[in-house]
Amino acid sequence: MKTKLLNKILLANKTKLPFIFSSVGFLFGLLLLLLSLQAYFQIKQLLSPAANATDYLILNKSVNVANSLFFARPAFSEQEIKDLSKQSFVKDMGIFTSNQFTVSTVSNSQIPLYTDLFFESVPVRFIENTPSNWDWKAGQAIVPIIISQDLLNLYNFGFALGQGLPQLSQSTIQLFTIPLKIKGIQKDTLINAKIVGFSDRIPSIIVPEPFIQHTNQFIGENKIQQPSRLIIQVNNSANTEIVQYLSQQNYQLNQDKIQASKAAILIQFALSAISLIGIAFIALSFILFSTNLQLLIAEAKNEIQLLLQLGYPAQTINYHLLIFSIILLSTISITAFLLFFLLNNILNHFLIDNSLQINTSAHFSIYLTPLILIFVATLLNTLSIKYLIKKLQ
Amino acid sequence: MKFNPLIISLKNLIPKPLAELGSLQSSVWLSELSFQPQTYYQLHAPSGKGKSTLIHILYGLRKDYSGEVLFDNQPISTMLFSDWTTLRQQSLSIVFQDLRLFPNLTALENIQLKASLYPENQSIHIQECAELLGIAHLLNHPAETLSYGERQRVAIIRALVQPFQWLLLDEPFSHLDSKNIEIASQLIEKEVNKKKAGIILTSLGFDYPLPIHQKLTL
Repeated sequence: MKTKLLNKILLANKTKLPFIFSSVGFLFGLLLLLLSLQAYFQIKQLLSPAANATDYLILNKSVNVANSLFFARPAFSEQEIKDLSKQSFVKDMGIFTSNQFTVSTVSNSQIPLYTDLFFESVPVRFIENTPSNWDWKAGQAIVPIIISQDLLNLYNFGFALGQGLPQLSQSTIQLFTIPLKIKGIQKDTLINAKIVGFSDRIPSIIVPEPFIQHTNQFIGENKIQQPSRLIIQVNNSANTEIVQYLSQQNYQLNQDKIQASKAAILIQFALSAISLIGIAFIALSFILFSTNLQLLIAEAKNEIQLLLQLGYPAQTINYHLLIFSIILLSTISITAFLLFFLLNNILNHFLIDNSLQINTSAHFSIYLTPLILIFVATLLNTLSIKYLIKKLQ
Repeated sequence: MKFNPLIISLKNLIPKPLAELGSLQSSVWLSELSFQPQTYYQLHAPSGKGKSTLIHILYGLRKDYSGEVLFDNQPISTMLFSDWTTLRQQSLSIVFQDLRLFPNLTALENIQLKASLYPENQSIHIQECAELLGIAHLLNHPAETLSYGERQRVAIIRALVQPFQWLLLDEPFSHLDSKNIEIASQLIEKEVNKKKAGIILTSLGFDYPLPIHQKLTL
């Protein structure tokens, strides 16, 4: 009864148009904010791999004409390696050691093929699915080798077909023992090798580190050489810091993984802009809303004063106006939610039709945002209503 | 804050506008005076002598006076707004000279607005009072459509639906005929007795059929 009467006194016959305007502004701003938040989380999820998944990136310096002319290796200096290892996105770093000797296969009945090769090694912790026999000690007859999966594909689908050679499966190729001739400035030697694994991660032919160190020392040039390739472990290759650092240092990457982060920078920028517009809308409608509330109180000034004269406690009137503002804001928020789910649904159908795998459920912050907004608005309204009613006493 | 029973004392009270006018012949202004509980007072004076001003000072609406008003020895100038709210709910009831009804509410709603501050259901009582004063058929009409005399009766009922120690009546019968004044006076007397309250009534000098204990000239 009291509520009905207070409504009739305070709200009936009062200007409603400004409230409608600010409500529409609030609704639009909230909807924009919700949609951009949802898009932000979906894209973030799309670009970042599972929680603690790590990526490995292989870096090198660009090769330019000077390198070609003067045989100058585009190597990383001590200082550059130290600087890179200090970057926050680098979880671990390994150095590629390359051969300081020549190596070639020796053609035999099993492998009627002669080819020059090269070897590299990386610390064992960077090799995925390390084979059990991945080790080498001086005097060991057979060197284990891991080749890039791409190299096998190149052979099977490029080389073998054209040359009339048999295609080889991973398991077949592991059966062969490959005789190798190693030739260095100190001496020559023959050794057998066996392919024991395939790597998606490292596009190279890798041998155990002890083997390459020993051979460089006793057969090859035996000198200290700065590495020209580095492998780093990162948490998320879509991290935009990586792209910024690498392009600033003029380093090159082997993978296109990093493309995602380039896109991410643009998308995040666009989404931030949209969110900002949403927030600006909300801020403006906040101001409009609270101005309207002041207008409402000013219009009902005589009525409020009479209520106070009749013994109505100021708190009762404050509370009534506050409830009115909460109901209005909640109605707007619920409407924004309904519109959001409708639009999100349409968008998700579009994404699924375009076979984009994306988590379509709303992120929890989507639910939190209007609650926070209503909370903040209510807090502000409480203060302003209290102040305005006090002025009327 | 509970005043039961409430003694109202005036000490050298004078509203500022009246003080500026100079010499006064008055048994209220600038004197020592107390209003004793359960007593009926009639203040009479021609227009412009501060009848409504006194009522408004006692009801806490005007503060432009010198001297003091004490409720049970507490100066009302020290009271907070929330104290006045409690007083207006529990101890003081008023019929304004200008009635102060909400024009867009019906007669009944104007009365219910007051009644809804209290837990008791008074709808039967309101109906009885309205029938007695001859406005029962108007209860659902907006106050703005009623005549001044009808509105005066609505305001009287509104003042009677709350608990009080003092009923402040500011020329409450000015637009009523003698028959209606008599009925209204009987109703007021009955309700005031029931509540063991006192009356402070202002008039332009007419006598009303109420058992006034003391008449004062402003």
